[in-house]
Amino acid sequence: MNAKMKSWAILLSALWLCVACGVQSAAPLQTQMTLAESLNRTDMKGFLRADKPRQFSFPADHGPHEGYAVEWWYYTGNLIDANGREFGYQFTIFRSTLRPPTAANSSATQSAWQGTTAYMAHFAVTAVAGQQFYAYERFNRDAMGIAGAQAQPFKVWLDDWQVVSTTPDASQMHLRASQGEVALDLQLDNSMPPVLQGDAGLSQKSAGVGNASYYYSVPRMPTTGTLTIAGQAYQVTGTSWMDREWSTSALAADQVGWDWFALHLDDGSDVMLYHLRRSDGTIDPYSGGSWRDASGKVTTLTSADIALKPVGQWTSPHTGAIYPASWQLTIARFGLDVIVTPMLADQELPVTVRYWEGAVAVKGQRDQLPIQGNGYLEMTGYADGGTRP
Amino acid sequence: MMRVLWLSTLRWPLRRPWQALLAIVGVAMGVAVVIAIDIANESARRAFLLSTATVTGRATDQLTGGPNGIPEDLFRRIRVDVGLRESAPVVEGYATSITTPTHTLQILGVDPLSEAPFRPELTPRGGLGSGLAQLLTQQDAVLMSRATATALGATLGNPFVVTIAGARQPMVLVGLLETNDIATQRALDDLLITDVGVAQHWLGKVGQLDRIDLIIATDARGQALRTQLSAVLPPGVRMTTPTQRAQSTTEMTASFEINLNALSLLALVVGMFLIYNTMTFAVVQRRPLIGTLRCLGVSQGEIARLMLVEGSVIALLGTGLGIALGIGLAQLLLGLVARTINDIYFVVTVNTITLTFWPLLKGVVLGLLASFVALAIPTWEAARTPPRTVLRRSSYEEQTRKLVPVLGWLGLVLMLFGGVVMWQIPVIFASYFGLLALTLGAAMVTPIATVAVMALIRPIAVRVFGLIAGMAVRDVVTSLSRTAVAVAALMIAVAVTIAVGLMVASFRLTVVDWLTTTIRADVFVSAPAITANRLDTPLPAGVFEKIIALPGIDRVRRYRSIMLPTDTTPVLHIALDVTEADHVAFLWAEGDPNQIWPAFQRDAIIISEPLALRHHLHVGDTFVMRTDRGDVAMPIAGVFYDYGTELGVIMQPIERYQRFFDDTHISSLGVYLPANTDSEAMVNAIRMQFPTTALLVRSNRTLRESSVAILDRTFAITNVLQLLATIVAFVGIFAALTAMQLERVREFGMLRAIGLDPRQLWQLVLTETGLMGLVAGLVALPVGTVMAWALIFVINRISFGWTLQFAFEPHIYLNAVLTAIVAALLAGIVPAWRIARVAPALALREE
Amino acid sequence: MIVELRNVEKWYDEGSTRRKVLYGVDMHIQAGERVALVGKSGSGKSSLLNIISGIDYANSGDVIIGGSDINQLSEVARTQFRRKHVGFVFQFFNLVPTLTVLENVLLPLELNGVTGAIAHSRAMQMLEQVGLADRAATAPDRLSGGEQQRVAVARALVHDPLLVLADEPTGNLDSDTGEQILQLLTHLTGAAGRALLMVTHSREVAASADRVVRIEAGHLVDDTTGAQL
Repeated sequence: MNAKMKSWAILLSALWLCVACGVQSAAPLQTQMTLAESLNRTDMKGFLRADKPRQFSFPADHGPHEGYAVEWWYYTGNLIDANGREFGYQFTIFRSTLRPPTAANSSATQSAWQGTTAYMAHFAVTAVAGQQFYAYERFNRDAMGIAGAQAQPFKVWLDDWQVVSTTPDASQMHLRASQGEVALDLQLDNSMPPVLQGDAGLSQKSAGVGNASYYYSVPRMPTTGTLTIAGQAYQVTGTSWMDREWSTSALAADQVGWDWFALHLDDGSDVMLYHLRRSDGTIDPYSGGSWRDASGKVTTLTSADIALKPVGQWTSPHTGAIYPASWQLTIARFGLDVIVTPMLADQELPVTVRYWEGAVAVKGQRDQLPIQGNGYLEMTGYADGGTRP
Repeated sequence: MMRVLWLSTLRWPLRRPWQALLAIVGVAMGVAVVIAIDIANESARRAFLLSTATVTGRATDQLTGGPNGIPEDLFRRIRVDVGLRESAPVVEGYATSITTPTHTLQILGVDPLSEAPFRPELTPRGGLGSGLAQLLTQQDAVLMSRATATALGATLGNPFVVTIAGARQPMVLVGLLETNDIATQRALDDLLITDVGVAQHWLGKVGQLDRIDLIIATDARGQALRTQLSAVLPPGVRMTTPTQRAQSTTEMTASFEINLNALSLLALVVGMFLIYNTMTFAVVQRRPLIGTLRCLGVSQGEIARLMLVEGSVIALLGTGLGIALGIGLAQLLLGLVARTINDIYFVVTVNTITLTFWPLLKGVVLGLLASFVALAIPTWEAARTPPRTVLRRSSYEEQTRKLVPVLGWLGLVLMLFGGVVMWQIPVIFASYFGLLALTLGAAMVTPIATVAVMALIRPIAVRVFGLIAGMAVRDVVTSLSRTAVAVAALMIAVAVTIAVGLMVASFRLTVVDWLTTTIRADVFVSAPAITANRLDTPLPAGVFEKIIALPGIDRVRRYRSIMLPTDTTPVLHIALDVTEADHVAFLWAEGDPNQIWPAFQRDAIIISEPLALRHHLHVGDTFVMRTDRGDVAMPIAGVFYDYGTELGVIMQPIERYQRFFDDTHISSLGVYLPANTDSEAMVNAIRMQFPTTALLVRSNRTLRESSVAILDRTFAITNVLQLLATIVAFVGIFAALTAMQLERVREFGMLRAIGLDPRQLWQLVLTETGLMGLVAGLVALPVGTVMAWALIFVINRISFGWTLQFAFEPHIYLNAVLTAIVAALLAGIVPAWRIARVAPALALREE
Repeated sequence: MIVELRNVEKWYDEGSTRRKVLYGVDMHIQAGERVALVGKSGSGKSSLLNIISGIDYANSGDVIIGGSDINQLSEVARTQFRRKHVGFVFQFFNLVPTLTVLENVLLPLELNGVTGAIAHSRAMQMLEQVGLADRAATAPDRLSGGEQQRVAVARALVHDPLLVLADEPTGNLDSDTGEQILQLLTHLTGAAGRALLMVTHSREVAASADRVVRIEAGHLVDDTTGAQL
């Protein structure tokens, strides 16, 4: 589970709220709880639920799962060029089915524009040396090929932002996105087997059957390509992390935000963990994560395995939201004790639902030996309400 | 500050309040008519531009296509292949309120997810909240402003119904568009926002977009994008700017607006006469007073200033009142203006006037200017009044009478000048200038005509009606300095009545003849449209096939009407079936029918007379047509008479049209029946075939009648203006006569003293005013005819490009003369009543 | 010497013919002198009066009023001269109907730039002298003929003119009233040391003058004292 979900859920909630009650409102998002509530309360009829473990199959599961309300393709990565310049990128495409499939299409019009599925995409680039952060957002609908997702051959796109598989088994992925001053063109190696998160891919997010998502990750995708910033092209290499998740409902009413980590350690381990924060300030017991060691062995982490402590504060000049400046992460079970620090303090996305997501550096010890690494951190629920850019 | 001196003048109107009041009303009405027309025109134009601006948003460029718009897949290519993110698809159309069919609503089908950079005010507040999801997923969801919702009786979350193309279309209001900005609020009125897919479905435009709005920077990257874009554009799709598009649309009404403005100026001219008359009269009345003041040492300059100030007060009050009246009148005229624009030109949704600075300023400037021009001569005359205490009026009248022939000659010269200007300079403003010269010239000829008519009448009047009648006739001449202006004003008003009457009659005659020639089919089938005389709404699929299969039908002609964009104003393009039997339906202004038809069937088009005139096109020239295959130069085989639209008409065979345009729609059908068949029965038979489809099925007669009804409707505003001018003139003659007669109280007292009874005084006064009316009416006959000639053969041709037949309608003349006499008699009633009541002694005593 | 006419001639050109109305008129009026000008209709009385008042100009000769030759002045200057130095009394009173009695009397003062309290007290004083102070706020048409003419007298004298011109001042009044007006006129002008020229048909009027001047067919034929009549 991660903050992507949270932010997307908030966004969806806004939509759902209006579908549900049909009321005009100047600011539909007063509290996130209401939204989560409204999301969970009414509109799941007709959708499939993530209520039991499933058999994953690839490359089919790289494609869309339209029976579920929400789904995303989440790519983050840490890149470096020949001169040692460090970069980070995030590229996410969200799918949302706005109306349950059963209710839909009963009296479909002939128009190709009419559908029930909308896409949103976020694209962000961090230039660590240049202290620059670029972020963009797009929306579109699944109609006439303007936006969509397919499994064979694998492709997910919105306008000219896209990830396309260049091989039938989707072992190679080609990511392309550009806007404003930045353009990204990367080859991602998807030959490593996916990590099924939670209970063999069923990731429980809150109490209740079905309040879960199907969630798998490809934590370590060797990446090469070109990153262009303000006309300057950089040949880059690095490691990407792909997260795939789909669900219909997941959140509990009192879950107000979370902190999600995807870390590559230099001993070859990959760590994913998320930290669900409740409105009363406590950490939700459904928090958790996974540890994949260099050999490929995966261990599921529960909230009891993880100790996360915010260190310092950073106040966003854009929203005034106060985020932790860095994190002290301890996973006693694997002897890990590190500090996770943003490579750039300001990696807050100026998008419809504000959140912080950016490249981080990891430094500390594992079993008394020095260890370091990099990865991505996402922090949501800090910018209050925050639907407006 | 010469306080006492000013008081001596400024108290004058207070002693004769009605006189001042009538002058004020006269100016006010003139100003009111001018600014009302201006405001109404301006409001319609602004409403159009505002709604265009609203629906255009911040687009810098637009892609537009042919009759079937642009293929929707182009949007995907722009987004996915070209990567031009700031692009938004638009499907537009119109609906009408189900309760108030004249209430037009604009349907704007958009992609809400593409809207943000373009039309933020159309995106619901609260971002992705407020109804957005329903907009995307429901097939009947709309957004609108609160005001529109109230007008339609729509409530949030509930279904309501409007009419689209004649059919009931249920919708659900899922969100309100809110804004704090008044201008935006106004722009949102009468706008129904829906998803592009829903709009496609409702408007029968599935698979097509009306346009794609783009935002492209002007920098190098923007230029590169443009180049990249033009590479993917299909041949029929063009890149234009929103301004170009709006401009070419508003230019459609240019002629219409100019003619309305000119007509409204006429009311002001009549108003000018009124203030001239009032001030002249004020001077005449006050000559003894001015003489005394001059004796006391008041200089000419001071006298002139006194008169100017008094005149200015009247002018200012009149103008102020005129503006207030004009704003009210504008609201009334707006409906007529909007209806005409909707009937003939394009759909404009405007229900309230927009007050802008310029029309009001124009009203003030024109009102004051006209007043001061009218004031010039009386002021000059007042200043010239010699310092004498006993001034015999007869000497002044003598002077006036000496002027009469001079004025007459001048008037004649002015009329000739006006005629030459109109004949020689084929520019609309020159024509109206010529018409103005003609009118003023005619006014100047009026006094001598009055003298002549009176000289003719007097012997007869004396013999038939006795001495009192004779006196009345003489009085008209002896008080020419006061009567002449009133008669001239009335004459002009009556002449305008005649001219406009003849013009409308000529138009009607011509169009009715033309309709008889052109409308030959027995039954017509079309889809309902908002622009009444344009049939570009396509018929539902299958109608043609079903009708042609009906028994008892001889043949069916297909028509496809579209508005074809050109570099200037759009042109009506009609693609149609033409067989030899249809040749009689065309009257040729240019070209030999024996050559026209073979060429037409081969590769040529035929065009209407207004188009030929406007673009100086002749048989043998070519016309470059924007088709879906790109620009195609087509030879012109003939020029036909057409009175349907001044924008111009192009015709070509429907088969060829379908080759050049990706459009297989049919707009209307002409059904021909075997001889002696009941067409009304066929109308019903066809209606029975399509019980659920909104179809207009009309017989030859009904279509002709409804065409004439539309024609008459477009003249409604002309008639209103003409009536207003007549009212201004009536106020004028009323003021003049009342003042004139009341000034003669002393003389009437004397007549009473020597034994005339009140009845005889009544007779005297009414005979006098009646005679003035008669003269005005008689002079107006030739003047009105000449003006009609100018309107029909010069102004009409320049403005609209139509050749009209002159309809000589005796009843128009008769009505005009009667109107003049009745107006004059009515104007005589109040003074006659007051004079007859005056006791002889009292009358004699007064001053 | 207030009025001095020397060889004044006046003619009108009517087409090709010239109609002469005054032939070499010489005339003198002293300060304090009251002169009656008598003559038949068409004898040239009005022309002479117009020339003396500066309303009309002489074709030749000198018209010296109060020391300046007004015949040499422009129309504007003559108007200014009249405003300052001439007072008028007309046969038909010719009060300004839109002004009150007081305002009528104030008008000449105002034309001469005298306003405010001074003008007001001067005008009231004048009305006092003609016995109409109590009617100051009345409109002229509410007054009798005699009263109106008394206002006219007050108006003619209020700005202290050199010369008062009266054109048949009693012509429209009954004889008793006429007598009163005449007395008032002669008394007030005499008392102020001004010159008075009355154009009249009336023997009584002529008799009240210090001197009578007769005009016949454009010639001044007689110049006698009033007593000689």
